[in-house]
Amino acid sequence: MMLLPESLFDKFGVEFSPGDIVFCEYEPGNECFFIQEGRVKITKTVGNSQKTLDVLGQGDFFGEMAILEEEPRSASAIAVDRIRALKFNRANFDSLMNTQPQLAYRLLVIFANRIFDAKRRLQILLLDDNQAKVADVFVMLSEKDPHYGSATKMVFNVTIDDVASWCGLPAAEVQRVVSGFVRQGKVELFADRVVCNNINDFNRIVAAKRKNLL
Amino acid sequence: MPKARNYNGGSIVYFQGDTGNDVYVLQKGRVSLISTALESGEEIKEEVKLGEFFGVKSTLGNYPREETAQVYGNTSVIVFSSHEFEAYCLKNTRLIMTMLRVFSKQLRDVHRAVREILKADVVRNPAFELLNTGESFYRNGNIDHALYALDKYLSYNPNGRNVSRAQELIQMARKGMTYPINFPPPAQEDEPDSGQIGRDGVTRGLMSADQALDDPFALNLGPATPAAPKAPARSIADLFRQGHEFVQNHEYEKALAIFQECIGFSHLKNDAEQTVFAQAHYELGFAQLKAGQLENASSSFSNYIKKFPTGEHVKESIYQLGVTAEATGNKDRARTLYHKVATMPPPDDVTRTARQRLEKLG
Repeated sequence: MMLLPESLFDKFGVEFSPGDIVFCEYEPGNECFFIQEGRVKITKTVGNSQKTLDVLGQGDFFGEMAILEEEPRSASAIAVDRIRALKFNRANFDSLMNTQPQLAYRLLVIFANRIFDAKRRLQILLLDDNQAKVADVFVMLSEKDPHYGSATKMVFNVTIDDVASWCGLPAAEVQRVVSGFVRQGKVELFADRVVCNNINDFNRIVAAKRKNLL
Repeated sequence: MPKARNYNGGSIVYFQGDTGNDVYVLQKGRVSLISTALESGEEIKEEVKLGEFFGVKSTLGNYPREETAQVYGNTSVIVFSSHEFEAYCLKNTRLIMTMLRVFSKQLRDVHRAVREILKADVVRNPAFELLNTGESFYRNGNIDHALYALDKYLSYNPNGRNVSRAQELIQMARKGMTYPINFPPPAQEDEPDSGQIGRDGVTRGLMSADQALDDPFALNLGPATPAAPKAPARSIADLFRQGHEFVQNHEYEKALAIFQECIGFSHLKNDAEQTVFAQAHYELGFAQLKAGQLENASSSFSNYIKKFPTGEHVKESIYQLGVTAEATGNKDRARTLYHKVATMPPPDDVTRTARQRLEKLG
């Protein structure tokens, strides 16, 4: 676990109590945070409720996109425990990176993963067929699963709305496609999860469509 | 220790799809990175320059190689394991910073391509969505988070179209009141004209922190704006608000005419408008009920339940159907409907009112 020197806390330290909001979705922001202690949950408004996307802990970075992208926050960050964090803005970011190379390196790794995930999503969006798009979301999820390659039956803790937002389709259309998969016995659908009985079915659907594209 | 490795012409250092944990530096000779463009499917060939690293991103991210590295002529590379590479980077901060910039640009490019495809996402108005996030917190009982978001809305949008609404909600939240039932939806914030500014310009310009602090909608008033802007067609949200005002002033005939107009909308731009559209169906019934048009009210509430079976006002619609039935003298039907409402989760104000009505009916 990499932590930053406590000496930095005097200058950049911030603390939050459990339940405090660090920043809010769509708020303009140009600061990023590095967690020295405690956990933060990342949530997003979906319809009328708040959905937790991730829980980050000691040694994690969050809000770093704001430093480089100048866009409003894409999600809210809420303290789960008491948080001690270091807060950086664009002005002190460069000098921090120079004095804390291990932090810069960690950010590099985060970026490498972000690029991969974003490209993977783009691949899904570029498919020209709604059934293939939904299938490719399942394939993408299977690739992230620790049992990838060894198991054929896969359980994903996602909802129709999640799948819809990944493939950029209306939820009703995704519901229609998934219902089709259910009728064919390829998928079992629950309120909080989707079970793919054989992920290879979906690999085939996607592969056939990709081939047509090229 | 990083090791030198020699290749003959035509060899492959790694194939696209391989997994590997090494990073390479081209020391002598030629290496081409061959990949497939995601969007066009075309083959892209990129020459590695002498002294340049390759195979970095997939090693760092621990995912399959995205390109094939092919050797031309006799070539030497230096091979770093991922640990060796990390150690090397930590001693060369400038290398990390250079790579960060390259990665950041790549990420931006991919995000741009994604946004191009999801055009709908781009037209989201950050001011409106910030307000909406605050209201969503409020609806879910997160008073502190709601206050935070509403406060941010006010500080970034002092001239926004929902300023008084945000202030009103803040006051209610501070008093510990729950989110008001039947609160009209927020007005759409002024949209930047996407026809005049590039899509990317809209998002980036609008969302830059500096701009937001200054005037988040400054772009809207750019020189390209026509001299005499035509009056925009009234949005469904604006109409709805007017209808709601009429209801509050007990001018039900006027209100129901407005709600009629709302439910005639066919092109709804986003989820917010969808919500207003659904709510207008309910409000129409309510205005009709108040105006004494019992039959119309009854069919409006039924229509709401049929069209929006998972909508926010289903329970209230059933309750209002009960009220309508009671008003027409059909006590049995009213009793059945109230009973249904009284047993529908979650127990709330509507549940209580339905129980009271039931008791009264005996």
